[in-house]
Amino acid sequence: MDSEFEPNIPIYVQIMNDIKRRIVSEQLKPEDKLHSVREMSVKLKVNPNTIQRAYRELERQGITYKQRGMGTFVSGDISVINNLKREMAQDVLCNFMRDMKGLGFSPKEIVEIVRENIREDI
Amino acid sequence: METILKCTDLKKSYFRKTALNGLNLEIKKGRITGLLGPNGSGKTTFLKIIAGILRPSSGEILINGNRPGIKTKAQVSYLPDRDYLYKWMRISDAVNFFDDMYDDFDKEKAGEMLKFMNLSEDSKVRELSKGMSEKLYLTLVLSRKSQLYVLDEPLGGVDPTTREKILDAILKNYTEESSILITTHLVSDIERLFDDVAFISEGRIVLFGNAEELRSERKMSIDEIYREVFR
Amino acid sequence: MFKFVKYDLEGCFKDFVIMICTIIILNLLLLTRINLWDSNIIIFLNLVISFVAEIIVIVWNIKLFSRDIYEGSAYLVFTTPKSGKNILINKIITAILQCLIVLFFLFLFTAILVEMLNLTQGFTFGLKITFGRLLSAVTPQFIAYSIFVVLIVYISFLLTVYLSLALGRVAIKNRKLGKLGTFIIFVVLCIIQVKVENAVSNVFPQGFMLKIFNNEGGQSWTNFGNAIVNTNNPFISGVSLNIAEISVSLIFIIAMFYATAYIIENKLDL
Repeated sequence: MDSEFEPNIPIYVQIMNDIKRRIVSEQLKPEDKLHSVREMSVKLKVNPNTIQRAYRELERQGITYKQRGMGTFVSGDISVINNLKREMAQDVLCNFMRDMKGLGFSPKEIVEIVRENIREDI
Repeated sequence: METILKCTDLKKSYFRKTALNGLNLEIKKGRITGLLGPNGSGKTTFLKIIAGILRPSSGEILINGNRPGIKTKAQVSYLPDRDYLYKWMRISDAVNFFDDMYDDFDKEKAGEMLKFMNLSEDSKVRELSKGMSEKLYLTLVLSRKSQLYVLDEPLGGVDPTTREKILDAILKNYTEESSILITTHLVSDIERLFDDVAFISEGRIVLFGNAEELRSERKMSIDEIYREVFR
Repeated sequence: MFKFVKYDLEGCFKDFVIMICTIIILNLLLLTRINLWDSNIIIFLNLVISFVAEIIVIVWNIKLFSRDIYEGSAYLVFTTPKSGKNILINKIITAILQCLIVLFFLFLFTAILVEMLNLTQGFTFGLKITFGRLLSAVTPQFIAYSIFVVLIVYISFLLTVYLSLALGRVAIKNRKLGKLGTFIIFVVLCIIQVKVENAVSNVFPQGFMLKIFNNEGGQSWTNFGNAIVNTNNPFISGVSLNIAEISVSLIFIIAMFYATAYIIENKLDL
């Protein structure tokens, strides 16, 4: 994660999102250990309490769990991760749809354009 | 959460001008607080009073329940905004001085931090560049296991690489047992370190709050809030 | 407890070395002039060296304190959790040590020079005394008293200077005026001390006699080279000590110590 944060979103949320992204894209695998709060704080140059808050929230959402004395780990539950993936995809799609409609594309045109772009990727 | 610093209606005037005009501030244990304001707003005056080297004209200031004095000097680690070591000293002399004078000084930690900062113990203090001096002073201050660290413009006048190292050192040094008060007018580099921020203008706190909350409420970075407050 | 002494001495180490070397070199030069120059001139120059060296040491002693009141190192010293009394006593001890070390070398060379002149030229230092004879001739009480008096006078002087510096720093914000103000305060303090001491000794003239000379074997006279001195002579056999004066000096010293310590601990604004 680069050290640039957006001013409009709370930092702890941005940190959470970054961790979620990395879990979903499998940079962080199930049962992987996250950096300690202190390591993360030094790495990102962010207040440790902010990191703490992000971690707490992730635990609350069941995406990670804490093991006393050992640290914070990515959940081993695949369904949790898949749900997360779907949730995040949904967010991306919502934004995409909104932006495309804002540009004046009709749903049919949107499908067409997506198909073209995917074809190029394959 | 315990309060480490409590300041009520603090005033400091010199014959012609008033540096502090009723300053109120409370810092709790384990919090990193930013004191933000332009030059001349009273930041340095306030910090010097906390360090016990300046007397307030009126008002109350308590550090762990004590007025500034010998007892608090042992609990407060102060980074001044000027050169203050004896010119004849080498870095090793400065380290030994702190080790001798302060019970809470950790000589080993100092040695490690000096290495991290690329400073050699044999160097003469008066031959250090501004950046190296800053790194040295910070090392001395952070190597004490104090309850309250008071840093006056730790990032002033140093290059970006040094700034990184300084921020690193501050964060590495953080514990829940102590609090850190940092003044700066270079807000964007350091704002993510703060739990709370206090904006000081003309000797008074004009805005105080949790950094994240302020950012959420106003949808701006602390830097942008700063610019707005001090337009 | 005495850490400041350690660091202050370390700090002036370089100056010390230069001073001692200069004293040694200049005196060695004088030694080489023994048969070439007039003995009186050699001794005179030796005394000039000693005088100048002592003045420099006094300046060092004053700077010990003024530097930590006026310059950046004030931040270093006054953020330490040490009391004003502790800081002050360290300064005084350092000052005395500085004096003693330099005096040692000065006396050493004066003694060497006098002995050399004695041996080579039959130079009589007025009374043809060697230090050994002088020491055995006077009572131990007198020696102790002399040392005591010198110490009291010098510590009193130092404290008067330090108190003036502290008051000047606290009372006068302008730096240039501060130096002038400090000097004025110093003069005032000296005048006060002298006046009080005189007044007290007039009110309480009681004193006691301290014998200067040893009368060995009931001798009532001693051969001091060219002069035969009647040591039973009441005029020079003893020194009258006024108890009140000594007490007042001591009281002043204690008062100035506590006053200075209080000011630097509680009233100093950096």
